Amino acid sequence: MNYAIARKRLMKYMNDIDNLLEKYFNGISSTEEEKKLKNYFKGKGILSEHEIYKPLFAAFDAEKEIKAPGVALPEKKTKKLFLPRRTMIWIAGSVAVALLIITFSTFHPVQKQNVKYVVIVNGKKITNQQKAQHYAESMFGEAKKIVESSYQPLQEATNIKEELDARNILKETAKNIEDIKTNYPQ
Amino acid sequence: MKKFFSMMLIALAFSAAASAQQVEKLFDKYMEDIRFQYIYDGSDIDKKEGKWINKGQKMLTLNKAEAGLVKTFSDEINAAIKTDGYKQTTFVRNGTNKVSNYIKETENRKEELTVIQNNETHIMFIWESYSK
Repeated sequence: MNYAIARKRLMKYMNDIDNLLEKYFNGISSTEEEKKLKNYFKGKGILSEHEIYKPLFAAFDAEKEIKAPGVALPEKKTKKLFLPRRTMIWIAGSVAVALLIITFSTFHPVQKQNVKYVVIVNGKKITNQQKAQHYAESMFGEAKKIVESSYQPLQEATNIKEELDARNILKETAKNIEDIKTNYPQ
Repeated sequence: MKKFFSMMLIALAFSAAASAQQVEKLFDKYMEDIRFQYIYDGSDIDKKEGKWINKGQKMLTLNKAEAGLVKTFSDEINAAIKTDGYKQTTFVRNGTNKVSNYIKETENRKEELTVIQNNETHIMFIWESYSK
């Protein structure tokens, strides 16, 4: 009996969190609801289904404003090609057909030029751009940390190898001897 | 001669479309799959990084997935990398993390891949694109 009640309470709790998350990703959650979510992800009782969202809320501990970088488009150089008119029409027509084929075969409806972030978590798209940005930054940040920590032993080994290089040691020793001779002439 | 040239051009277009990158197809295949997380970050597009210009980055993640699915996805990644002609630059195993880097570079374009695998349950696949 107690087990059934506990299970019912857990299901209700999970649904509450799911509803809050849905509202949050659609950008319609209140400040109070967001605070509730942040406290939930700070605590230890995070359900396994919600673990994937933890990096997103961990990033909010130190929220920062990102400024978009300036864009400098390269200048296009054009060349004039002199060919008979008929040939030009044939070439232009063929290129147009070729471009149409390539465009339709590689068209990606999700990524539009003016959308900076596209985040889809388990089939659900995060529509709010600010939330999507936070999620993207935390995930790429997490990946960067893993890569850096994985390469750290290699970097340390490279540094040690450079320090133990015989030529560098001899060079350094010769320099020190010269300094001593200069500063303390016999 | 003109007709022949035009047909060749159209045939080339078809083959270019058909052999669109396998790595890119992988992202298209799983971006809306409920088992995956997909991220496209175009915030640094057109930002200059040395001699290259950033053209965006993508990430596909499998988190706490069953071992069979992670292995299948890992095999698909390796097959796509091989088909697209990427060259492996580094491989590091540190504790439970395995990190591999790949690169494909032409005169005007560079693409980098990073595959991070943690145990048999987590895998992150990152693609970065640059042009001149």
